[in-house]
Amino acid sequence: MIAEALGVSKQYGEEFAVRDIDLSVPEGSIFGFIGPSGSGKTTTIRLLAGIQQPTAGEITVFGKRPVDFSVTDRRRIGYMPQLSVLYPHLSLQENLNFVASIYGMSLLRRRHLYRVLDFVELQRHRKKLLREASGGMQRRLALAASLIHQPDLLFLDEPTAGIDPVLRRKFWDHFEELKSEGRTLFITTQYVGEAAYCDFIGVLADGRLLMVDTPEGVRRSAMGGELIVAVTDDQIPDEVVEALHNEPLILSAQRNRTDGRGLELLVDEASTAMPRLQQWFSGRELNLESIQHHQPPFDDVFVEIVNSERAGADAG
Amino acid sequence: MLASPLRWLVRVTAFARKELVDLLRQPRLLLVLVLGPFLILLAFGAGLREEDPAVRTAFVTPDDPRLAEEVQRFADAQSERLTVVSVDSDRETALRALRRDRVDMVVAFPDAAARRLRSNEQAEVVLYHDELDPVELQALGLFARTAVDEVNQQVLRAVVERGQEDAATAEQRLAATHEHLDALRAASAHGDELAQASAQSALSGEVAGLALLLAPAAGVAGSVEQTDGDTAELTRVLARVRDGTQAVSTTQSVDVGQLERLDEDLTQLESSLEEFRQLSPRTLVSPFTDRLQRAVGGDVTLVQFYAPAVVALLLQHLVITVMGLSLVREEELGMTELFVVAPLRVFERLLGKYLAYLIIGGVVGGLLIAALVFLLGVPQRGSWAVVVAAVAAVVLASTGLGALLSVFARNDSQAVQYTMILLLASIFFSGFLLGLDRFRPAVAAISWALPVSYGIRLLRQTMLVGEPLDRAGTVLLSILALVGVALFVVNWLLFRRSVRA
Repeated sequence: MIAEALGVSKQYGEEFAVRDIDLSVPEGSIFGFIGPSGSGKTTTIRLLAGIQQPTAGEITVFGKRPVDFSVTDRRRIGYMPQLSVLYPHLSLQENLNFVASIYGMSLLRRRHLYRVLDFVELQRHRKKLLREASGGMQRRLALAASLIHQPDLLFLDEPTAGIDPVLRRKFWDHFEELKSEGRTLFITTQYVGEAAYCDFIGVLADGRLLMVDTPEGVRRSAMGGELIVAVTDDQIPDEVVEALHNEPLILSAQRNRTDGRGLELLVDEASTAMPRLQQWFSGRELNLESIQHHQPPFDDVFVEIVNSERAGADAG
Repeated sequence: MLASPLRWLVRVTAFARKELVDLLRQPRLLLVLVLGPFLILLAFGAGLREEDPAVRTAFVTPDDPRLAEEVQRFADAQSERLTVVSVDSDRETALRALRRDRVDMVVAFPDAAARRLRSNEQAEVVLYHDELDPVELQALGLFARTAVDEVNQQVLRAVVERGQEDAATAEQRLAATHEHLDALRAASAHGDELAQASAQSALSGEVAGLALLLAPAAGVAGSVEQTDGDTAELTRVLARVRDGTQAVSTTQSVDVGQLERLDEDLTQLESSLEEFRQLSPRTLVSPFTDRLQRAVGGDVTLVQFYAPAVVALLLQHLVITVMGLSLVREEELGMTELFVVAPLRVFERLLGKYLAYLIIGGVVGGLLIAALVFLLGVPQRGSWAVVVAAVAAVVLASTGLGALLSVFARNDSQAVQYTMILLLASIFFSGFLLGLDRFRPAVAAISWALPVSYGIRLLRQTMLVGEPLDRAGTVLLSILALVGVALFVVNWLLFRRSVRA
């Protein structure tokens, strides 16, 4: 693991920004940290990057506590803050050049600089002053600044916030490319849909880490299994629905269409359940118009997780 | 990647370069920072009047024609410093004009001044004014005292002139005295007792009249006795003549020797009177005049005196402001987060910034000093090396103050407020307006906490006096440089603590 947190809490006075966070970030992966605004994502990324110290618990990055980072360790880290922090009166290239300098890069770096600017598609805008650049350009420059020294581990705090979907897609393509180069990316986002691009996601709400898993694992956990949607040619009789409830393969079954021809079936594993269900329906002389594995959007998954957590907390 | 020392250098120069480019990218700010101070300096040099502003004055004299005449004479003789608006006997009218700001001062001479003088009392001249500024008031008071002294001297000069006129009359009586002495000598030689008694009586009467006539002149001459032994001769000779006349007038057997001595004294009195008449009344009344001359260096005008102080003050304010704002803005932008994550030491960041502001302050300081010397004609009598060292030390210490200020300022506007407070303190306590010797020791400590106080002293001493840096100057320069270095260390520790927190 390249970064780990164990029972980490950060308190401001009486208030907890994050509480009892446990997570492990595998090397060479994209770890997405998802949660609504104010859930503690930025605090967590700051704790991992060593900008803040935890009130409780322990964080290790490269096997060391962030306070013990050497200059060499710091050179292996790239950090992109949530807001644009670079100098408004400097051009995009000058800003990038400055960041390259504070990482102690060689002065013969123009080609590398251009390559990074090219990577974030800012090459032809490089002479533009930061204050004249659009929000999207500023985010791309911030990303370039976090990449300029070719770090092994990248902490990106909401890199896609406030930018259009096309550019967001491009960002994720860049992240995928970086991962393929063997780098590890820890990315926070409030766009739940972006969870699909991650290898692992942590779901954060109200300062608590509710779940850490692969995107599929999270979806499955949130829904309690996998969903299959079946549509028949004719209306499905009630006794058929009753019979499905009694099948060990089916965790739950419910109608999902007003014409009575559709069913939403929760199963353990959709790929093995679907052929058996086709057989089951044909045995009852019900002709299936379609049957497919349904993957609910991550927004729904996220809402489900948060609601369950809050319901659990209220019940507790 | 570079070797460690080179990486260190790259990081430090990155900050210096960034600060310079950042500043150059803001031409308006640059214009305000460089051209602004220069224009202020130019306006100061061109606009400051060397002479004191004229005081519009109304004189109030009593119904004494002689005194009124003296005052009018005095008024007519005044320079532009005192503009005589009116000479009148109505005090109320003059005071009304003062209240309506038509005059700046009313000089009221007392009623019955002559009677008071006769009663051996001084007559008080009252000066009414409407000045609020205590410094101006002090100057006005000094000026008023000088004016009253001038009136006093004018009165004394009139007395001397009358004495000299009396001395001319006395010379005629001296001729008659000589004749009576000759008659006495002849009567004594012939044993003519009747003629002798007649000559004795005539001689005694003439000398008594002479003494009476010369009393004022002798008094004036006697008053100068303290300062000039020759002038006192008149008093002594007159006394000898009186004594000698007394001796030869009260005896029947007149001593020839006594007659010869009296004759000699009369001749000497004649010569003393001639000498007294030749003397200028002004010299007799005011035997001393004054002239101020600098013992070291040349004369300095008001503009020249203030100009180096303005440079020191502007430099300090400029550097504190830009350094303070630069650090506060980085904090506000969130750059410091990036710095914490990066392999960057607080020392490197601070050193880079110091380097940038030493360059900026040095260039601005150089331009301002050059403008003073080559455009405003301020003398540069001392060593250029000391001027450069003083400017560098002021910039170094001011950069430290700017950084220190940023530690306590939470945002831009707070930083600007702090710099304004420092500017205000600098104007009052640095020696810019008032000499540091005027402050009590506890308050003087504030003065010596400001780099500009050292800068003003060093630049004035070097540029205006031109003497090589003396021991006190060397100590000042060393202290300022040490303060600059100490502030760097303090800032480094404070910023490091803040990053760790």
